[in-house]
Amino acid sequence: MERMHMPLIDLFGHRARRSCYLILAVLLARLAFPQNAPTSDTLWNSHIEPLLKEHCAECHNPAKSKSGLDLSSFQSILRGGERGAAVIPGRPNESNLYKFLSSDSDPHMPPAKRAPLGEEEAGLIKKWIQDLPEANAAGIASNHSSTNSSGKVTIPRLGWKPRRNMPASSAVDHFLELAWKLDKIKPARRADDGAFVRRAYLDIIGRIPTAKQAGSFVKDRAKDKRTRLIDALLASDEYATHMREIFDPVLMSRRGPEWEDKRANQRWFAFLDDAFRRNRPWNEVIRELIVARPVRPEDRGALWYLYERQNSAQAVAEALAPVIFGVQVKCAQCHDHMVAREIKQAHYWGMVAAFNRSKNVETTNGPGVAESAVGGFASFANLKKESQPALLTFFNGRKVDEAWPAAGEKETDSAERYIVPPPKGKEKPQQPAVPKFSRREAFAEAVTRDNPLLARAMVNRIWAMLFGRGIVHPVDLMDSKHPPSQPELLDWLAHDFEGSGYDVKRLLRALCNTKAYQLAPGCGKPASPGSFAGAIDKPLSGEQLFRSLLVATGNQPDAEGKIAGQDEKQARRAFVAQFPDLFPIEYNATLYQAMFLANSSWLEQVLAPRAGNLSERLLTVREESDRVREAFANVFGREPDPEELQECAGYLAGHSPEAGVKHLLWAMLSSAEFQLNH
Amino acid sequence: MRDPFSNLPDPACGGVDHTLHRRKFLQGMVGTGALSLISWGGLFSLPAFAEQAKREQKHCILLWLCGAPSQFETWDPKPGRPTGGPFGSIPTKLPGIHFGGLLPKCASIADKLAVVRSMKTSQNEHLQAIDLLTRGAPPRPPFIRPALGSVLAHQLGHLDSPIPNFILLDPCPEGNEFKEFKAGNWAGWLGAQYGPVRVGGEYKIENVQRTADISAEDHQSRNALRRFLTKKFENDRHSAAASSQNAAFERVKGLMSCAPLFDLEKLPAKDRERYGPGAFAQHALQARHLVENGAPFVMVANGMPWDSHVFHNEIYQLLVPELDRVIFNLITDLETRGLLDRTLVIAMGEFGRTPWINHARGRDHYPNAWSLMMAGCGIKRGVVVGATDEDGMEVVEKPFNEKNLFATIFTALGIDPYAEYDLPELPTFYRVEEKAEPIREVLA
Repeated sequence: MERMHMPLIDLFGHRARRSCYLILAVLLARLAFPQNAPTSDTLWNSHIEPLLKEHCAECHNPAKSKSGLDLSSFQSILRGGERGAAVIPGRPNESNLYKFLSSDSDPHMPPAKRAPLGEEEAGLIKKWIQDLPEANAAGIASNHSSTNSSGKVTIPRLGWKPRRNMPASSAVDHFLELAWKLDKIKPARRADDGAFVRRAYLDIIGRIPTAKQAGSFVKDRAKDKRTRLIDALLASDEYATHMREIFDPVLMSRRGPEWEDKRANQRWFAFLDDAFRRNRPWNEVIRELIVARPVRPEDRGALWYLYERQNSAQAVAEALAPVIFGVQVKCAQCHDHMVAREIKQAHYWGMVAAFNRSKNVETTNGPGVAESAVGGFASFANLKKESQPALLTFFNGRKVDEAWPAAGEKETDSAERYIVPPPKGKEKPQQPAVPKFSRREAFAEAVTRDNPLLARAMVNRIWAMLFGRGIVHPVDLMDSKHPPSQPELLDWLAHDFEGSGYDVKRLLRALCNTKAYQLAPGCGKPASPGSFAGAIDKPLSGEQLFRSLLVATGNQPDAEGKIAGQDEKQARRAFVAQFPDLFPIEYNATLYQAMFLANSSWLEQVLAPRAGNLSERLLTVREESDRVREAFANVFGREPDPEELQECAGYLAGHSPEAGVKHLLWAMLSSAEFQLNH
Repeated sequence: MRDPFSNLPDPACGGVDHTLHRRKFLQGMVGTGALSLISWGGLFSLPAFAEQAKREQKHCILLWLCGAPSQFETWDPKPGRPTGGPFGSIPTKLPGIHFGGLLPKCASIADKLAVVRSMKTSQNEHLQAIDLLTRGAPPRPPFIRPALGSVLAHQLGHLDSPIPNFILLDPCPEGNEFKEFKAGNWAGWLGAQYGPVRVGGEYKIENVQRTADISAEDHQSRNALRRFLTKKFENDRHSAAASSQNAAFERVKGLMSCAPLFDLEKLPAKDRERYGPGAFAQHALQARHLVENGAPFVMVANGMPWDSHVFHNEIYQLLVPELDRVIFNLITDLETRGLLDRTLVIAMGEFGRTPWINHARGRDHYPNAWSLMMAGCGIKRGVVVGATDEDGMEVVEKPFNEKNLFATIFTALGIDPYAEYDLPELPTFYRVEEKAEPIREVLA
């Protein structure tokens, strides 16, 4: 059936498209629900779940559960609440869920302050309860697609798969185009060269192009110039630095200058730089972090991932989950995740167990993370205080079998359990202890090989980096409650990334070469941001802003590494402190950011004319309108329009040359056009 | 103290129209049916309306005596008892009521104060107790209940006010557990916009000062040019991000115009002398000044000086007279300015101190029976509630906990204490849990 749809679309002319979609929709519906007559199952999916979500979920959700009742899933409805059963299959008139809808019922639901359900809606609920088979209701629950725990099983909407060998960028575009057609969305036009070159520089190497770089790109007549630019940027050293500046906070979170210095000294930054420069497979990079026993000297920094967390296995587990599974697990420390039910408390403690035999040690070669061959058989208690063993069970369904000592049995820690045994005395060992059975290695194996979630998480993050928002948004909540906006695209991309050997540059190259990435900003009301039918404004990170500012104003570190009298590192840190966010859920400029731009004395110094910088050059330009044009070329990478030209030239005319130039540049650098990647 | 704001123009933000409570507006205007006729901007320029709103604006000053003050030397003296300490007690303006001997000035205005002598709480470690007594309920991770200041900023303030809705005057970065608490999340589930703006001592509002390199006119004109460019970008692309930037810069203008309010040097020397030296006293004066200019909530703290595990008497000989002077001046000033009925003043810490003296001649933590003081908005004048036994070991009359206290504060300020927080994916939380009763005896 899948293959049948496409020719239909191609055969019909433009005018017939609408009816074609109807046919398509029907076909798809039948594909999803093979039975002919609508069952309680289909009714649940199509009407009941959305209806309960709209009218009841505010109070009867997993977290709130008013009167003990949670109406968010079929299973929870069957559990009932403090008033007993909510539904009795086949008997709507005896089921509270239906009875309480009646206006003369006490209690009456939804409560008075909310709109009551319409007759038709109540009728649907009645019919649904009526049709529920009485026997084995629990068994039916498991067949409801909404109870799929992984959130990965998706009803095919587009019903299309790229043929083998189709270029990845074309495949991505085709997925999106199909979705736009289905949703009747008209994508934005193609971004012009000036917009594209700025975007590509910012996204791939973390700064804007110089006026010269932008100018020569725009003038270039070659047809494949965008592809060539993408390749050139990916090959540059700035690419590795930019990726490190994104992935350091992603992996480690920002902890301020003191920790930044430690990470530099412990060669954590060097490890990341090298990983991105050499384009190491992403699963291999993650494996290095988990195992933390680097072999090559240039990988030494990898062990800092565990070491910085100072023996807190929980901190390691919480930091790793978004990277290897795409989810946040903090909530599951004390109980199964209340909203995303597939995230179990056992998954949290399983990850903790993977690291609870590890310990920071000092060796003669510097810091290391030793691992014991014994111990670490912990238990955790749920909210009902029931205790369970923390087995090596992980969110992706993988398990590591391990024999547990019998109750009362005391394990013996002996040298033959080790490849590198722990030191006997107090002297520093040459290497940290390495057991024959290493939980870290077992865990690394389980999550960096045949773990589709690792690929999904990375693909979604890189997508968000380039498109301003994840296919699942927010990026690290890839659970059942945050469905992807383009499920088939995400599935395919993740699969493709895995198939490529977790090739990060290839992924970036493919995405940057898509038509979708190269769209102009979506104008007017965005249909839905998850449609990606137009470029989304991305706020610049502190690092991007800092570097772009230097490029725009033509300021570079002097012989002593100072910019406008301040150490480059300090100046960059000041920006990062004000603009720390990466992948914001929703962007909002803050008061403090605005005050920083308005009143930073360093920024004032940067704008003052000095050897070779833009302000100095502008002062040598005679005409005010030419000064404005030159400023626009350097800061915005474009020509001013007549209105802007008039306003800005007028401003220059009203001020002394030096003050005018400084203030004009300040206004441009603080404006949205500069502060955003668009 | 260094003056970070000296090169700013004079206050442009004393205007009442900046400090109006938006909800008050809506209530008032919907009543008259005029809302549809007058533009929002127009509303602010109606002088009569602004005047009324000013009259209704309520404030709260929390004198946060962090480290936990001793009840014996303050509100619940036990003269002549082994636990009483050397400072004795003095009669107050209220017949039969004595305060600690180091509080003569407070004794003279006892008819304006309300004292609770029967606080009984359950946390005896600073961090947990600070958390409990500033948020009003025990923690329930991972949810973070907003601190009192954030709730009041949310309820009494309005987001586009140029003057911050929650001001924390705290010069001291240290203070062990208090330091840790300060680094945490004050605003909790209300969101960061209701968190404190921290000022005082080394803490100035960063970048609020215009640099010396630019004149006020140029600062303004270049911002107008920035706004023009951003507005154009916003209009061309319907960019929400751009509009949020323009909004942020608007707030900068407001806050910069308020900066002189934070300048102690601008306050009359006479006032500064009356309150006395030291950051705590000067900040209390500043709190009065901020409230006069519309700030809804000001918290005055000073590290953790009250934590007297060692040399208790020696330390309290310095601290209590300062507190006496500060409370006396603050209450009298608010009264003479006609602000006391609209301003709730609270002086409290996170628990009390032990009846017994330890080996280091200090008093340790004691949440079992302790005292606090309230006065002003919604509070009965000249009342003492609850009692402890003769040695101050146990509460023998009307025990109250943090929930009772918070119910009292909210009720006094006309805020529904039992309102439910209606936020997505949040379990059912109330402003005060378990319908805890307010301390009726102190409510006006």
